[in-house]
Amino acid sequence: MNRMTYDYRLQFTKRDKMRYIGHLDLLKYFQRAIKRANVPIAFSMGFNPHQLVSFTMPLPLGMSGLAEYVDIRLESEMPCDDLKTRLNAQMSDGMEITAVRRLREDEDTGAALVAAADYTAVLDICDPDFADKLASLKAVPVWEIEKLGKKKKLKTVDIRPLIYALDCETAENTVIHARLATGSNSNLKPELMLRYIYEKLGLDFDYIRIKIARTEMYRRDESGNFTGLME
Amino acid sequence: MLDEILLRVEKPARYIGNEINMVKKGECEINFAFCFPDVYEVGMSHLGMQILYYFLNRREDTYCQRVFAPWVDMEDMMRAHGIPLYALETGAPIKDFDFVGFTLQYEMSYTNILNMLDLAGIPVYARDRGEGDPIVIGGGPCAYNPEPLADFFDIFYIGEGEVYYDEILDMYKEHKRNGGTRAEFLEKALSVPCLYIPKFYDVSYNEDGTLKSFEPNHPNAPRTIKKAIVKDLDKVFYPEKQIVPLIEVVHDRVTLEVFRGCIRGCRFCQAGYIYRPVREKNADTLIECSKSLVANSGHEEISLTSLSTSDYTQFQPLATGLLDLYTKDKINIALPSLRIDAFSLDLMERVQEVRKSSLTFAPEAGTQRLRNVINKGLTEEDILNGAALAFSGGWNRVKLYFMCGLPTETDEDLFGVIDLANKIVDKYHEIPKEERPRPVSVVASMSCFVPKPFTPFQWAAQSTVQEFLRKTKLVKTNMTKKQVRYIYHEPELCSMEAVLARGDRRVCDAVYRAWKTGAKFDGWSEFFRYDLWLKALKDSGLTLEFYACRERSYDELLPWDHINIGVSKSFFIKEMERAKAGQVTKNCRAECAMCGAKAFGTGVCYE
Repeated sequence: MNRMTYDYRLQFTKRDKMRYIGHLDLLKYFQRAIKRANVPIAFSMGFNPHQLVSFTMPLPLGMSGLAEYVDIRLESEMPCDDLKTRLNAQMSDGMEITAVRRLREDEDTGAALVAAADYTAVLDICDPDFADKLASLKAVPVWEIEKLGKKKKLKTVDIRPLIYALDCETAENTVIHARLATGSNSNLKPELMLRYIYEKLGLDFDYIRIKIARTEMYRRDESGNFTGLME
Repeated sequence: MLDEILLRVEKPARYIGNEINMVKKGECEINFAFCFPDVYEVGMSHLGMQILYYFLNRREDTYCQRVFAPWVDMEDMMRAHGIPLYALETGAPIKDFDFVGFTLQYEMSYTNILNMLDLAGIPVYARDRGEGDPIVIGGGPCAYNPEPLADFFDIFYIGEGEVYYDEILDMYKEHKRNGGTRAEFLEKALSVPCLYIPKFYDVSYNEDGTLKSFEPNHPNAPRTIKKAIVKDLDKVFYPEKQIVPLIEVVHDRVTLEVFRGCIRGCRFCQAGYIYRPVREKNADTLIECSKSLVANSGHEEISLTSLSTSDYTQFQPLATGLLDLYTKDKINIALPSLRIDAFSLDLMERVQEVRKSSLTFAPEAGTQRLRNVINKGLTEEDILNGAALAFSGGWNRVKLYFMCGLPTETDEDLFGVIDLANKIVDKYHEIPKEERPRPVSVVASMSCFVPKPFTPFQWAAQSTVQEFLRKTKLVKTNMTKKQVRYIYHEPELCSMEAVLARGDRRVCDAVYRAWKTGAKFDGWSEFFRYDLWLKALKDSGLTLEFYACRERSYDELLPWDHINIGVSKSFFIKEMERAKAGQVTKNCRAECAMCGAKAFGTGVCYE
């Protein structure tokens, strides 16, 4: 007989000071918050039981996350609002659970589903012609750049196919909006794309001076449509 | 600006605060910066800070905020960008605080104190501070010999913080409201019996470099400063929460303080004397206390803290009570400082159902003769029986702690270390082969003995660096069993520790020079610069030999003689003589040794 499972997806923010917490520390942070909140979390089997908590995609240290996801399994059912309120009572400044939904029967984890993410990058440049330059760059069908491969060997990759959308605004600041391939199948870090753009435009690239936020994550269906992970 | 810097340093979360249970407050009349002169992960594991943090913050008029020593990468960034040392809670520069308090846990953090003051923009020397500068106050175990830091501190608090801080802060608040000066406040503070204010005392020296006189220069300055202790540990404030760090620190767990002090009287151990008399908490109080701490932290481990947990009279009910309460919630109970016997092994079995950690014994010396000298009650039989018991219970790893250079030590005692390690290996092999699936592993770790103030060995000479090197090499070359791993410490650091531990006021100059030439994080062997320290001593007109390797006579005026810990000097002399005669002194519960601590009117002395 199938045992009933109670899986929930939490959407949360990780910003301001909490940007400086790395992924493993974030996991610990959540585990402790869940304990303090008295949420009936389910544990794994085996000799060293651990809470069933699964993050969709690690957020790099320093980057803000406005719609991050974590899936958790409970021992018993709990109203989504209740779960949200209880956990929010345990969050530090800079972290907030923004939405909770019960996962559908047999729905995959966020980590398995995620295919793309939106990023916003506030650049450290002031160039009135930036929009035009980016537009002509976008027209180039192949963006080849060297990156460190798995065995610490430099290899050349084409990142253009991994950029699903790319725009900019140049009002007060120069801001790039991009939708990039994300997940276990294909993944493009915003850093690599930004380095490519900076190099092509002959700018000094200092990644730390660029303020990046991940604003949403999506799954993608067969026909290429994107759906947010909360839907 | 800070934002950008944080992404260029290692572990930026060390510098942001914002942890679980951090205290948030509005404007307060009194701002207290609680400084731990080491890196965040070390300081956040310190129980005393957790206690005093909530103790001070329970006052509405006071905001106590935390400060740690920035790691070298962060310090460079802060200096380059002109960011003064700030407190984690609000990011406010500590220069603007009313009090800057340092906890003095370890001699080798002294240069970090100077560095933090400097980074804060506070004059390093107390005499250079003026109105508007904070009152710099020190406390903790190293404050019992405050002299090597006397020039840098306005006040030292001798003893347990819970006793007089309310009085001090009330006094300060009134003083501040009346617009009093710094100098006036320090004079007023002379009325608190546990406060030592170095500027009200003059020191003179004999030609041979020993102390000639130590005299108050103010009519209200007491001749001796009395340590403050909590009378009823069961009723004293204990926090209901702990700050839970956002990053991994040395000890990530709920800490329950079971008792203060130690009944054992090991003659090398300062903690065993300065915290006398032993005062316990009730098991029921502790269990109650654990409930809120666990609920408010989300920690997965509770650790019992004391100098010797097995000596807790209610150990059994406490341990079983905690296990009954928390096993189902998968919360682990950590039991450091346990004596190995049937009960503790059974307990450890229940506590660690999966992985058997290693067993730790601290014989400290290799022969029974020397163990009697240091009054370490542990016998070879205890150790071998304990090990045998543990081996039959499935343990296969043993850690042994020894000290090198103890008073009266001969090479025979060093060979005893090797013997003991070997006998433990043999003990394991007495188990039938089929019942020992894994090979035995014994780690013998040897540290260098550092004579400390307020111990019977406070008059003893420390071995020279050369002697330490010869001794550790002797053990190393003769430790031939492959199952035994031998670890030893670098003696240079320990010899400097000995200088700072028993230094007088002139040592302040050497501390200053060492820091000025770049010494910091001296307790971290990768940063320790022996050459800088030797040069600093030389330039101050001092020698390492005088402070570390010289045997003192009983009638010498010691730099810490004006501090009264309640244990008498005559008792220490008697103990030193007994040590030389190889006589053991019984523990406080077995027989009162008349150390003097009974005068506090509490604790084990009245059980």
